[in-house]
Amino acid sequence: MRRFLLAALALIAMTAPARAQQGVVTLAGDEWCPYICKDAAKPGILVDIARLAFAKAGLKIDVKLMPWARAFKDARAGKYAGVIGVQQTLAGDLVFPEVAQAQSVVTFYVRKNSPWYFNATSDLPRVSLGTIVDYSYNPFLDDYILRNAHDMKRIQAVAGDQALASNVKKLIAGRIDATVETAAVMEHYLNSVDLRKAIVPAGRMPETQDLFIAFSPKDPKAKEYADLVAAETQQLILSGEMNALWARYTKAEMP
Amino acid sequence: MSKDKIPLSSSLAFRTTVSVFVLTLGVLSAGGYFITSRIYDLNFENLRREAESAARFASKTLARPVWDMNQQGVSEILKSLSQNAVFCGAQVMDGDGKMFVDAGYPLTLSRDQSPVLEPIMFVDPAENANKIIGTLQVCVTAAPIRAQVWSIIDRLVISFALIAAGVLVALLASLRIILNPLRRFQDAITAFQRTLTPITDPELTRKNEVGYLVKSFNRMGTSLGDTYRALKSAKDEAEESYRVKTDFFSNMSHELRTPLNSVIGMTQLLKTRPMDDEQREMFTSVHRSAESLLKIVNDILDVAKIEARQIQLEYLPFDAYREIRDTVQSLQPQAIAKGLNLGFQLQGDDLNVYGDPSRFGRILLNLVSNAVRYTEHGSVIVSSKAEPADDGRVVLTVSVRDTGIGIPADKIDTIFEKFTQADSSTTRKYGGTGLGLTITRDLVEIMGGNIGVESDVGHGSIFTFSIPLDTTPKETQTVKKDQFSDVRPRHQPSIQPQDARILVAEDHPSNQLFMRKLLENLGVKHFIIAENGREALRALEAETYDLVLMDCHMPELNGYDTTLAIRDLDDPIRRNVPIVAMTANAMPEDEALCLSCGMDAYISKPVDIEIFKRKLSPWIAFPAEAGRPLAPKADLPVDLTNLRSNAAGDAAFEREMITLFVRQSQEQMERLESLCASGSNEDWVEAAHALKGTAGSVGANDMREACAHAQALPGVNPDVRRAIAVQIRHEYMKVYAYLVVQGLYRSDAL
Repeated sequence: MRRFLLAALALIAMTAPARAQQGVVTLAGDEWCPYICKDAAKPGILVDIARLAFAKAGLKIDVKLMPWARAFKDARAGKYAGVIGVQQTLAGDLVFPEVAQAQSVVTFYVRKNSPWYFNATSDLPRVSLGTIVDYSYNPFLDDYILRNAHDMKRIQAVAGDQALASNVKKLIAGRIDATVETAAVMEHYLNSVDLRKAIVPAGRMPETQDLFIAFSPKDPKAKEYADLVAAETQQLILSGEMNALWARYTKAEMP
Repeated sequence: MSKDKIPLSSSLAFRTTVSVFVLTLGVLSAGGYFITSRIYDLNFENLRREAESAARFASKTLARPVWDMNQQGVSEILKSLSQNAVFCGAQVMDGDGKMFVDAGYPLTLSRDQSPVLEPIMFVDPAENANKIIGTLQVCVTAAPIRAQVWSIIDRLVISFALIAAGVLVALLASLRIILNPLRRFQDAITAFQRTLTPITDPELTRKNEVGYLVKSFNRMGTSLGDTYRALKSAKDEAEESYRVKTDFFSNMSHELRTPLNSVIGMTQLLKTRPMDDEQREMFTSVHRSAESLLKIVNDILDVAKIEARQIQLEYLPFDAYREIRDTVQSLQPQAIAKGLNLGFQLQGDDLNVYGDPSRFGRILLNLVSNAVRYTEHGSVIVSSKAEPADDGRVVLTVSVRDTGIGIPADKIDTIFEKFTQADSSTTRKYGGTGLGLTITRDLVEIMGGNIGVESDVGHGSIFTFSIPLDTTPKETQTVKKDQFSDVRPRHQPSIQPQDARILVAEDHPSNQLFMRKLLENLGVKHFIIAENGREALRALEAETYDLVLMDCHMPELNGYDTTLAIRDLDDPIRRNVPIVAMTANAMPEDEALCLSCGMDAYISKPVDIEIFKRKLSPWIAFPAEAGRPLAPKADLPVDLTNLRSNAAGDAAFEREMITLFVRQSQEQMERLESLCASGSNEDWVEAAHALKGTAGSVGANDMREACAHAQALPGVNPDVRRAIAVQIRHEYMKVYAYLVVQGLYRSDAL
């Protein structure tokens, strides 16, 4: 899975070669802890992987945080060397590593004691679901959201940097009955605001989605960078260091 | 020509300018205030409306983020709202009234700030109901409008200043148009005051408002000028005629008094000569006529003097009650002759005051003698009282009550006017000049008092006057005599008449004769008469004299110039010779003129012997007359004290009284004696009464008592009457002998 500005998919990026500093690779992404975090000491799982990978080649990385749509678009246009945390399915022209760097699981959350549980898509119309504007979750869910976008009894989409926090608050306030979020991200947030006991998971989408650090097709070294990242990922998984890395950020199970 | 300096504050130009300027500023300020306050109000209303509409719009925009609890979204909307200068902050409360997002909403609102509240509504999907999920609170500020208004005010002030300056300039220009001709007019009027000719300045005679004003002024000025010239010539004529009148009085004084002087002087001298009864009677008539004529002349002159304000009051200590007693006693003979009871009622024995005793006496004499004159039967009573006034003086009130003919009510107002008597026929019956009361009233008024009369026709009149008098002397009164006393120490009267050498300067032959007789009578042996001043100077060069008697009006060299010439001589003895003026000029300024020329004393003609002696007494010791007061002596048959004081040094009067006493006594005694045998009781009592009055008039007290005895014995037999008559004649003979021995009465019958 991963987010996309849906309307931007059709856009072809403008020709703007990445003017990377000598020995520094500039990457873009949005805050999506624990994958990409604001904290300089714990910059996120994907950022750690990238740093390790490029360090092997004697390169440093510089991660720019910005809204997701802006990061995706500018990276494709070549303004940045790459973009962190992108799904392969909907971003065909980016250069992807051969191995995914992480996975995500789209999970439903409700107030504790709520009887609702997601088993199938047919369960959805019974709740008012809090979503985030312009987010893409899963083809079936995205279709449901699109169809019910104007029925606030079913879909209430919030926007902005604090969208996750808004949905949690609305859930607690009873303005929505359920919300949907990548499990690792929700777990990380609930821990940080100490609401672990009030909000509980209530079913998930069956599939797991791959997340990549992908590179701009405008960058001549894109393949080289992708290979560096793939090699490092493989090495981390094989050495078991990936589990340790994951555990550094979240108690949630690595998907 | 000096233009009047107009103080700025009262200048019309200044006041007009200031008032128009102030008015303009006032109107502009009021207008400015109205406009700006209206702009402020309108703008503020617009502002509020705009703010409310913005808030309403915002509240709709905010609904979803608030529902979504999207503080960031709300905050962004509020921030964008705050971009608007009319907002001074915004905040959103949630449904529970708790602060949701605060975007700089002030803790307290200032005067310019006001809150706008707008509810945030959202359709709750669960309940499908529109409900309030929060409140938007916006702070609206008028600061921008205020700034706007201030900038308008700035511009208004500049515009107003320009307008006011323009008005000022226009005003000054128009004022010049009006005021310049006015200033020219003022100058022209100043010129008019000098020339009295109409204004012809072409600038001022144009056909405009000023031109017509000047035209009217010219008309008025011409008329005023004519009136002024007419009045001035009338005034000049009046002044001239007044001067002629004064001169006439002055001349008349001289012309009348000169012959009168010699008539009276001669009769005085004649009186001592032997005459038979018929001659004596004729003589007495001549003498009395001359005296009346003098009195009339004096009255007329007194009125003239008083009216010309030429009278000068003396300031001497005197006993006012004694003056009253003396006046009453002096008129006793007339009263007795008419069988009137003349008496006085005084509040105490004496009243010592300061003032003019002779004028006071004159007032009394006029009133009492009038009362006696106009009363046929009954009494004349003089009463007086003194009351203290506020200023420390006393007010002396004197009433003269008679039982005379009275004054009709319609005449009472004019009784004090000149030449007025209640009935013109009265003059013929009672005599008098009609000036007495005028003089009396004028004298009372000059002395600061007032006089009035109450009367009942046929029953009598009461004349009352009040005058204020000092009881202690005023400091300011100084006597301006003895101007030359520093150079001429006052002689002691050590020279006896027979040793005195006197120079008389007199041109009038009859006066020369009079002076000659007078001086001889007084025992002066050495005297010379000079025809005029020049002769007098020659005589003085030839010989030294002890005294000069100087007539003022003489041909060749008058008395004044002669005196000045004498005072300019080298020889100190001649230069300092005492000079006594003798003139018929009776005005006060004549005396002042004499004294200022260096004369030592002043004697008014006709000359009274006693006054003459008294005036000359500083230098020549004439035989002492019986002094005043004369202590009454018990062994004398007659007490002349009252008579003397009544005469006040007037020897002629004294002699006349004594002569009258002798004549009347003889007549009345003869009548009394004729009544002894067969006279009726009434006739006897009346004759005794009349004789008693006669005796009292000279103070022949023993004789008076005898008469009183006779009067008190009605119905007695002829022998007793004869005995009393003999006693009365006996007492009379004692009096008569005394008078003759004392030289007080001379009769060729003796």
